[in-house]
Amino acid sequence: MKYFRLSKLWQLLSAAVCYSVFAFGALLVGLFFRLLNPVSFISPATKQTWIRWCIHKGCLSFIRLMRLFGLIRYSFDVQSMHCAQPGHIIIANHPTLIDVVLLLAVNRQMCCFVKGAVWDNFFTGAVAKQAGFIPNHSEQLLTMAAAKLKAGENILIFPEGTRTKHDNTIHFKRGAANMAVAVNAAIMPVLIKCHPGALKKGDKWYDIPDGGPVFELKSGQLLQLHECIDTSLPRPKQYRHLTDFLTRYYQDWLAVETHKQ
Amino acid sequence: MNEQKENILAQIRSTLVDLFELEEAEIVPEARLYEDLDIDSIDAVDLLVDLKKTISVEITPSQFKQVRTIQDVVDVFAELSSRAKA
Repeated sequence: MKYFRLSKLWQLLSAAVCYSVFAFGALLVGLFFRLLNPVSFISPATKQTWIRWCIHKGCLSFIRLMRLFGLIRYSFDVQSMHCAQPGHIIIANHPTLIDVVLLLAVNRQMCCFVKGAVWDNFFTGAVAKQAGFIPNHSEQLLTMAAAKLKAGENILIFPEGTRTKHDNTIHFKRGAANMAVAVNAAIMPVLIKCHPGALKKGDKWYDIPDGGPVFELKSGQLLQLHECIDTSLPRPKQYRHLTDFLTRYYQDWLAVETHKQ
Repeated sequence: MNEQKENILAQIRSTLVDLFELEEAEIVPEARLYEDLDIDSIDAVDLLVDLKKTISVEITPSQFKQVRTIQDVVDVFAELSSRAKA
C-alpha cells in the first residue's frame, strides 16, 4: 500500500515537472520569436521554417521526457505520411490532450489551426503568426488554407472539432471535408490509439495509469478525393458524402485495430 | 403568406432537398438553418448561389448573413424581388 502511494506521488511529481518544463520551454521559444518579430532582414518564410522546427523539436523533447519518466509509452508507424505527396490535409481522431503534440513531434513542418485566444495573445500570437498557423475564427480561413495547401504545406485538422467522447464513438464535423472539397486536396488519415484511456476530455492531467498509457500513431494511405466520393455532385453533397465516408473509414479502422489488441 | 412567398418557399424547399439531402417535411418556416437543418456558413453560400439562379434578385452575402430561419430567407427574397419589380 505504501509502495503504491509512493509510486503515485512519484508519478504526480514527474508529471508536474514535465508540464512545467514544457511551459517554460514554450515561454522561452515564445520570447525569442517575440523579439525576432520586428527583425526585418530575416524573411517571414525563414522565420516560419525556424519556428516550426523549434515547435517540432520541442514537442519531440517533451514526449521523450514523458517517456523517460515512465509517464507515457509510444510507437509510431507513420512512414506513409512521410512519403506522401505534400500539400495534403492530415486528419486524425482526437482521443487525448496531447494528440497535437504527438503529431507535431512526427512532422517537421506542419501547419495547424489555432484558437482565437492563442492568436490574440501577446506571446503566443507572435509565435502562431510567425509559424504561419491559421486562426480558426478567421473569415478568410478557407482562402488561407487553400493557399498553403497549394504551396505544398500540410495542414492538420481534427475533424471531430474537440476530443473524442468517453464512449469512443467517432462523430466528424464537416470542416475538414469542406476544406478538402474546396481545394481538391488529398487526405492523409492518421489513427491515434491510447490504451488504457487517459487524458481524455474531462480527465485530469495528473490522473495517469500505472506504467503510463501506450500511444500508437498509425498513418494510412493517402486518400484522393475522387476515390472517396463522386466529385461531379454539387458541393454541399460532396461535403456531406465525404464527411460520411471519413466517419465510416475511422469507425472501421478503429474496429479492426481494437480487435487486434 | 401570399402567393409570391409560397412560391419562394417552394423554391427553397426543392433546393434544400436536392442540394442538402434534407427531408421535405423538415423544411418548415420556423426551422432554424443552423440548429435545426445543420446548414453552416459555407453551405449558406452555396444555397445563396443556387437560389439566385432561380429567383433573380441582387443579394449580398452580408444581407444573407442576417437570416436565421427559413421564414427569414423567404422574407429577404420576397422583399428584394418586389423592390426589384417596383
